[in-house]
Amino acid sequence: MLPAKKLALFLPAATLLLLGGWQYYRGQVRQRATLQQFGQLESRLARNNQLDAAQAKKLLLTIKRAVYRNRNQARDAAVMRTAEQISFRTRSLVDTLQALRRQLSAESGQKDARPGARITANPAATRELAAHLDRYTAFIKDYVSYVSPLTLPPPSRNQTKEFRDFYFNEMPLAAVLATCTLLEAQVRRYGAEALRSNTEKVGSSCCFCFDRIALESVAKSNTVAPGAIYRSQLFLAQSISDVYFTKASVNGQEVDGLYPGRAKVELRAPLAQPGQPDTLQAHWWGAVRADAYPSDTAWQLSVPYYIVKPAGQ
Amino acid sequence: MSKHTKLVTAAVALVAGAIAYVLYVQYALQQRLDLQLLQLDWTLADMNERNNQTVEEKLNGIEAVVRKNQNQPSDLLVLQAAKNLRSQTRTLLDTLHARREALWRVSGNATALELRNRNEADKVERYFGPGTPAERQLRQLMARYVARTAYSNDSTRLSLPTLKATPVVVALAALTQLEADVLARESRIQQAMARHVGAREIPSRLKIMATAESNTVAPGETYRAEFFVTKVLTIAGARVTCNGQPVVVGADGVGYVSFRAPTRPGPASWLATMRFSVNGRDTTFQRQVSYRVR
Repeated sequence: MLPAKKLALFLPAATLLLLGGWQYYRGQVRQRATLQQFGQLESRLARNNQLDAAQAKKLLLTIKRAVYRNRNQARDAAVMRTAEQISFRTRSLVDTLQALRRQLSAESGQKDARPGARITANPAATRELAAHLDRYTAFIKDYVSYVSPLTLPPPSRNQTKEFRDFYFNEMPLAAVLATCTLLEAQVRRYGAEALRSNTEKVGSSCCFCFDRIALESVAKSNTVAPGAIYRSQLFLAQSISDVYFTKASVNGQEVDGLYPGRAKVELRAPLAQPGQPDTLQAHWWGAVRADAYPSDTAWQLSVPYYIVKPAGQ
Repeated sequence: MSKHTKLVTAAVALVAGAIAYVLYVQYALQQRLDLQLLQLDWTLADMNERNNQTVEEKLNGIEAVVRKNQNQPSDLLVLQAAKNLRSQTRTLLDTLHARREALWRVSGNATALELRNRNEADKVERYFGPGTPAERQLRQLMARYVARTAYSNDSTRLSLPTLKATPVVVALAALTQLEADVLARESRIQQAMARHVGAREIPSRLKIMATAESNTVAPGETYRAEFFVTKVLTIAGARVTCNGQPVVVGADGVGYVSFRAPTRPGPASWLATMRFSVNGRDTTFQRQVSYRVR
């Protein structure tokens, strides 16, 4: 071959290689910048998710209290069951997403720690996730007016891909992790909106509880014998607006009257046995339980009383 | 052509094909990443909007608390600071939104509904990169914002994105991220402010108590009582009396009254009073409590 001819072939080939390499390098720089930004946005979304979770928990408790304060009317109880269902389904989907995220990040962490390393998620897991997401949107759209499918990738001109192919196939780890957090944010948003629209039905959303303060006297016994000692506790009491009591019991038996007001005790004293002393001491014990104050709590007390034979018997 | 030349040409074509393929794969992935980043960006922008609304509502809440506490001067100062913070934040957010629109414009997306030109890194750098007037203006604005809205010991740093060789998608996302940080900082400061307004919280505890109609009952009769959980306020220095006689108050805020009942049967009553001062105001509670002697 002539040197000139060789050169004529070599020069374009070298230019092509150089241009291609340069283009590839620029592409990699762009991809790195994009992936870095993924991490930044994801951390903001994750922070919001945490706030949303706390908010949702509080809202559910507000509904419960309102329903109990309205004396458990059937309509309200139905609203509460719905609210519990909404938060249960939201939580279960969020758990699935978080588990997938943990699993993906653990798997790829062992193999390759480069942020640009591409991974493909387990097809069975992503198929299950897509089905779970679709079930959730089908459920939640009864409560939220603007639900759009969560398994639809953003529309684009030249490529139509399915959920799995778009988000979980040959994607850099950072992008896949961000997808999990993004889906969690969307799910939480629908869940919160559904709970909110549901709360309004109980009429607790505009409930503004004034914390009334009053001087209270609680006597050991409201009836005393002539000349006997009267005893009472005297204190400043504030109405309780932040505790949700679930049940009251006397000697282990559940009793009514906790909402509104005070639990009632009614005990029939046994008939006198032969040889019983004139005064017999007896006890009853009461318990009140509350949910989430801040954890489940119970208060107990034991109260003595006296069975006294009427004089002249 | 010689056999040798043919071989070289084929090799060059193969390499060119390989390069084209690698570039195509890279390009296709970049398309997906860009779309997904845009989606993240919308979602975060949507959250920002809602958080902005929440901060606004919280400010109204602070104002209501201050009014309920009868506009104490110290409360009004905090409220004013909160209002200033809000208006400064609003101005900053407006600037950031305008900057987003400018980014759409310079990248040639002005009239488009969706972001078509997603790279345009050179244009982004030319107009908004380090050293440009636009960048300097934003930097000054941020510095002023942080200085003016400083509150107690909030040490959060708001960092300005450096738009150097940054694709327009990333630049937009960086602005949304900054907006999220600004709102998160405001919300934190606002919470600290909210703690400083309104009446001081009085310590309290929940106690279970019971009261019997009568604590004696004849055999075969019904004993009646009530029990409940109540919130007892513990006020240091409260003076409690029963019929004018001082009553000893325990550390839990409960005064224990005990006296000898009259010898004549029938309805009777006693007078309970409690005096204390909270937030500089003297308060007296009184109550006539009735009971039976039988």
